[in-house]
Amino acid sequence: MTCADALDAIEAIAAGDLALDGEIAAHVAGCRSCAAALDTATRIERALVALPAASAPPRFTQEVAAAVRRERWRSEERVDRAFNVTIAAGLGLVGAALVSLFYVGSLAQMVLAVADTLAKAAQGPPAWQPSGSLPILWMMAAAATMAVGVWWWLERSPRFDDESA
Amino acid sequence: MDQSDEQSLLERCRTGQDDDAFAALVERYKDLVCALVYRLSRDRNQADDLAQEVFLKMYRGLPYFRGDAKLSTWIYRIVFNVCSQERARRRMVEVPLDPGDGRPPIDPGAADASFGDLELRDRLDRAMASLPDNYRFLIAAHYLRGIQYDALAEALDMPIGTVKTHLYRAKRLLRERLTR
Repeated sequence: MTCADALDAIEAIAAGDLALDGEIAAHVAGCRSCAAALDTATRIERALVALPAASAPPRFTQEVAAAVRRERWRSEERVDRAFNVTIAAGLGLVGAALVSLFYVGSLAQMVLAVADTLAKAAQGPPAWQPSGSLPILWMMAAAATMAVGVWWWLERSPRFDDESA
Repeated sequence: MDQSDEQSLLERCRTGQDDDAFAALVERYKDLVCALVYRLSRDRNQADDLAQEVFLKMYRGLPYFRGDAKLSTWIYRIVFNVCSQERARRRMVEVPLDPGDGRPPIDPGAADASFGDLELRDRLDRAMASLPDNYRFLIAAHYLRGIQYDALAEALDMPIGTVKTHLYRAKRLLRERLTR
């Protein structure tokens, strides 16, 4: 029996899982350092057994119950929010689809007309033929004029939120 | 509360949002959880928060708890995970146990009749805090109301022999650090 063998068994002996007898007992009896290690291990064992056990604070159960309710409320809120967002997105998609159904024909026509005009302009003079794209150009000019007019009117009119008005 | 009562409470928690049933489970395990968490965290305020987190995780996990293991075993596992995660997150204070703390090391040969006094208990706490997570958990749980080797083995998913070996190693580390 060596000191290393004895030290391997010290904690088991101190815990009462292994009996102090036979070779180990003889070694510990004759070895000062192993005897000291067993003594320390026994004290540690006693100290661990004597460690106080904290108890739960007052109202702990009520606090946990409140935390659970908060958690459940947050979870329901998340579900509600996800539901609302989904509904809004769905409505938006339906609206966009309806608008597209009404306007996709004319929009496509406009886009094609503009593309045609640009393509012809790129080919050099004559830059464009008024007969094909004239209505589109008139529409664009009218829209631009209207936008400028609205901007001018807004700039000229007193603001609703202008305190000085 | 016997085992059948506990099963009934678990069923009530699983099938519906029965706050009373869950409160009864909290009432039953609160002291065990708080004591264990307190030993692992060493900070009363933090321990209360962590204990509450343990029960919240338990509440979230109850619908998935199949009952293969005992409820207490499952709770030990949650405690271990919550405390390990918290320790990793906050890099909990690992107090060096070198002689620089101003206190003399324990002289194994000296007549130290007051090993259980507060100062030495504090040193034991510090030494425990420096142990690896699984060693700390084993010591904290085993010396708390005699939690048995088999429950610890189940909670940590290791054989009983390994649990005993780890406990001996943990205590040997404690001894070496306290006598260093």
